[in-house]
Amino acid sequence: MTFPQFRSKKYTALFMVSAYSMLVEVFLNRYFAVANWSEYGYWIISIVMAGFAVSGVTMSVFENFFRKWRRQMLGFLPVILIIVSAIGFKLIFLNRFNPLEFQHEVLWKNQMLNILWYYLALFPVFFLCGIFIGLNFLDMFDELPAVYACNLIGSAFGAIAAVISMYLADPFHLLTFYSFPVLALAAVFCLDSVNEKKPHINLLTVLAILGLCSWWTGSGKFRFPDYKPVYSALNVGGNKIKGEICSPDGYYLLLENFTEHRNIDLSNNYSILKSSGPPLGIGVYRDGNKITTLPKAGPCSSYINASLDAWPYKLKPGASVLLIGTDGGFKIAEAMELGAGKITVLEPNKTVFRLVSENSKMDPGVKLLSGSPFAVLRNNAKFDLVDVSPDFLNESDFNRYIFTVDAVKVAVKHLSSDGMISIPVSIAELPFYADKVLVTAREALKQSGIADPGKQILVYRSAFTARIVICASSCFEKTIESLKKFCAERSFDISWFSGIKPDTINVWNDLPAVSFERQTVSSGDKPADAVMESAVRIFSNGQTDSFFNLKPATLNRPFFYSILPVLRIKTLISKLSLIPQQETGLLINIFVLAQALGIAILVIFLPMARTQSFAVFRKTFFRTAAYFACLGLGFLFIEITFIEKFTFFLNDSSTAFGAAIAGILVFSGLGSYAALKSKNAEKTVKSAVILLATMILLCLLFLNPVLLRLVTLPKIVKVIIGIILIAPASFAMGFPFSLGLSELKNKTGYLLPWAWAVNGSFSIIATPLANLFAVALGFNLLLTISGLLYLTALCTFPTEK
Amino acid sequence: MRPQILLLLLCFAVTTSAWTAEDNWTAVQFNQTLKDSGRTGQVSSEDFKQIQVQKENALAQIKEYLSAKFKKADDAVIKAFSEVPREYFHYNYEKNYLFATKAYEVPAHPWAVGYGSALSDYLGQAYMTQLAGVKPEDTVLEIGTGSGYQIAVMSRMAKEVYSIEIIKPLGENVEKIFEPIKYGNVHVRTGDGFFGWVEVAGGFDVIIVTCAARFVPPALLEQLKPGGRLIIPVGQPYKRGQFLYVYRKDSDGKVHSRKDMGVYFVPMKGAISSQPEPEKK
Repeated sequence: MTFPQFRSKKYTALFMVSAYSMLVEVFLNRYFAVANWSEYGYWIISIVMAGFAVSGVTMSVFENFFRKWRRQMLGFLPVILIIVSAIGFKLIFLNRFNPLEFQHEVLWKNQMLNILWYYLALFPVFFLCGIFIGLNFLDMFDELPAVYACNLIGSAFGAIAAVISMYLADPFHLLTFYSFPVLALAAVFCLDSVNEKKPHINLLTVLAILGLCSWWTGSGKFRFPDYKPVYSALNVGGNKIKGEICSPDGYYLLLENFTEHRNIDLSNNYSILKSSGPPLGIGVYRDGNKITTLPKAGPCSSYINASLDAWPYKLKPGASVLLIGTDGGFKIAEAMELGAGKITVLEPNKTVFRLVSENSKMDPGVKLLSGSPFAVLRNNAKFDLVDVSPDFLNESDFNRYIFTVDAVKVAVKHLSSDGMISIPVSIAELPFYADKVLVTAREALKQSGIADPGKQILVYRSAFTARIVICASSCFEKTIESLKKFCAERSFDISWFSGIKPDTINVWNDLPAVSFERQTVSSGDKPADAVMESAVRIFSNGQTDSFFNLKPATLNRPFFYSILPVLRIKTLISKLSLIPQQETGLLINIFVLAQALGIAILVIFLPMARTQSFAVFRKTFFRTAAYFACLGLGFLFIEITFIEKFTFFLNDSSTAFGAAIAGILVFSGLGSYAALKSKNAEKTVKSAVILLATMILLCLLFLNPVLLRLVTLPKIVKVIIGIILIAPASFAMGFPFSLGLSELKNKTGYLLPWAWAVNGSFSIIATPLANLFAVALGFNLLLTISGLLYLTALCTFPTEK
Repeated sequence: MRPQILLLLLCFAVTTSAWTAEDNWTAVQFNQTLKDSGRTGQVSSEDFKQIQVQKENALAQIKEYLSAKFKKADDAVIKAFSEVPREYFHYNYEKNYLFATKAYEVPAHPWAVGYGSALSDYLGQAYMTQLAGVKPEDTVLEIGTGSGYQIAVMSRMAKEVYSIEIIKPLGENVEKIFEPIKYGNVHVRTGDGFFGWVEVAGGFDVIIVTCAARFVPPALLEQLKPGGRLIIPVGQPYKRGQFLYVYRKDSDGKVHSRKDMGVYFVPMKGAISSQPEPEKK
């Protein structure tokens, strides 16, 4: 074998193992979203990613051993990795973690053991991936920038391959059948390097191991855990699975059984209203959670007169309507039944859009669109009514953007002179979400130049849902009278109109206010309305509940389920079983952060164990640690910010993830490769950081307005524009890490893996920290902090000078 | 002699027909009824004795809990809980195993009974039972039988109780467990609770719906007597009890609802507090 051939095989193997580690990370995220809740999957994966950091420390402590045996280890590691991965995956399939029990004050202990089980199953996989990549750094230390470039571009390839393969299989089979072949390719190349005379034997060995491991892990049938809503639906008598759809945004099941009804807020006065109950449909489940229902045999709207949603239609017969969300197609039929005029329908979820298009016969007067609500609202149409569907918020992650100040402002601009927006919000668990939408609406109207927003807002509700109605102009007396009549007939409640006198209101659906701090629920002689109490406070003095974080959501802070005050962690833990599932992500971030900090401290100070070698390095120890820590944090902060910006721009989380990760990693890889030509490392890093800081400044000033302006373009054009936008910053981000490592190669050998470990451990810290910063302070500040981190790195470049 | 023999026979007949679990409830009796109900498993005499000791403890806890939440524990509720052997319902139908010894574990917590169904903790169940306010002349309907324990408790307080289980394999198994313990006023079937139990003339005084949607099925409200109470627990039973929605139909047929959060929070005495908390400095 010639030298270049040998070299190219090494790079190919490194590329494949890098791709594999990214592929497995994404697949595990999908698997945990189906088998548990995605929030917990994120916790587990974040910690097992510590395998990378620990691998670096291990190599740094046992540097002589790894240096001596690196060739042999590189030869056999991919094969071992296939076997270890197979065992790890099998173990996670057998784990019976139950997040509901984990939130229970008595049952949580057993679930801790299950989490430990996950760690033990997956940690070795990432540890060995880390060892393999680290050994390549050691083995080819004379061309570090190229090695790092290969690592980054391999990871980018893994991200793209992961997104594409999610169209082909469910999350269970993705892990068992789609990840191993990538590793097998690396294994063949690596075995060839230690046993170059018998390539056919190497190939057969790898194929045999691949076949055995895939068969073993793939044997058995995946079953949804019994706490997932789909579980009981699958077990009712006569259930039929009408369809199965694999896609990057989720694993969909369509079920037909007698429990699948249109889920809609209805008045309980059926007999008075001469209304029937909601009709049967086909349940649409994503990752085991029900997201909507499709009409079964043509929509039946005999119940619509009793619906909470009906009032604006009754007020405005023949209204030109924009429906945001279809509720599986039911909303279209209901709008028609209620006498809407021109109907424009937006369904951003691609899968639901396809199902609605195929399932419903569209009236010629109905225009069904996909894409971003911002794009639809950017054209010149004016609407009498913008009606957000009840299922919309939970249907897709990116749908939360419609609940931002920016979206409401755009929507208000596109209302006719007496138009209105109707936004539903669930109050079934905590009533505070209604407060959040109210402050968002208030802020949007204020920013639109309305002096007294309270005059243009109405709130009415059932026991489970509040509807916040935002009017283009002040609400007339006859509008309020119409709402009062509508509610009285249906036993719904009016919670706010300008001039409301709470004492005179007869409450049908008693909704007491609760306090987390006082552990009390307010009660009196007559029924209470917590939403009314909040609305009166918000519109009289702008005050909201003092415990929860009820700041309005914006494009800079586009979070709906983020009302927990993270600094009040003690109270939150004492109320753990009350916290809605959607809010648990924030708490998990805190736990992940605490654990990641522990790992980082360990990683940073472990080299001190090697006292002799450490003495040589003592002078620049903190400087070097700070350099690689800043890079670890800064890189991830930027990556997470851009994934979020892409999600908004493309209105599609999976494409956003694939495009942002691939774009950043490829261009960083190219940057790292370009660093090979650097004559003066420190100077080059300085130029790169200046370029990066400039790009960050430009993003802070212009990114949101530019994205808003371009949001109407076709998706493929937006992907290309997005990648072009992040290319310069990403290219600049490729230089500092590889040049920093190159600077270390001339010093004590063990520093190389140590620096890689420090960088890795701070990358683990970065993920939860970025989420916490973004929720508390917004993405603009996160981007600013990332710029400052790179500037700090510049000041701590690990040079002896 | 003959009248005495007749009397004796009569007494025997009466005793047999009126036998329920609370009479002569021993380990042997328990194991036999378990077998008669088509389930497997056994408890030893020692374990059984231990269960009864724990039961006394749990009853004291229930009384204390209800007194704290409602000012006074309802004697009828305490009596019903003392009569119904919870250990008999501690069975996982999916995995076919008995876990009777955990029936009165302290602290109280929910247990899986298979097919995604859970047996809620006894304190939460006691709370819901007292909230339902079942009277001896009442007819009760439960949508979502689960383990059957909740309806069994209510059967001791009401005239007739009906329960519908939606999960087929669970419902088919639980249907069989009431006859061996001679709970003759419990009627269970498997099917869709959406339509209620139309065959029961006159409707129901209390309806409990465990599978909450954003609407109450019309048939259930139709079958609720005026002044009757319909209770919907919202949320997973694993989350330490649930929010309870209590519906009441007035004489005009209009329905009022109340969100009861007493399981989680201590109700505040006095008038409604609408003032925000003072800022902490």
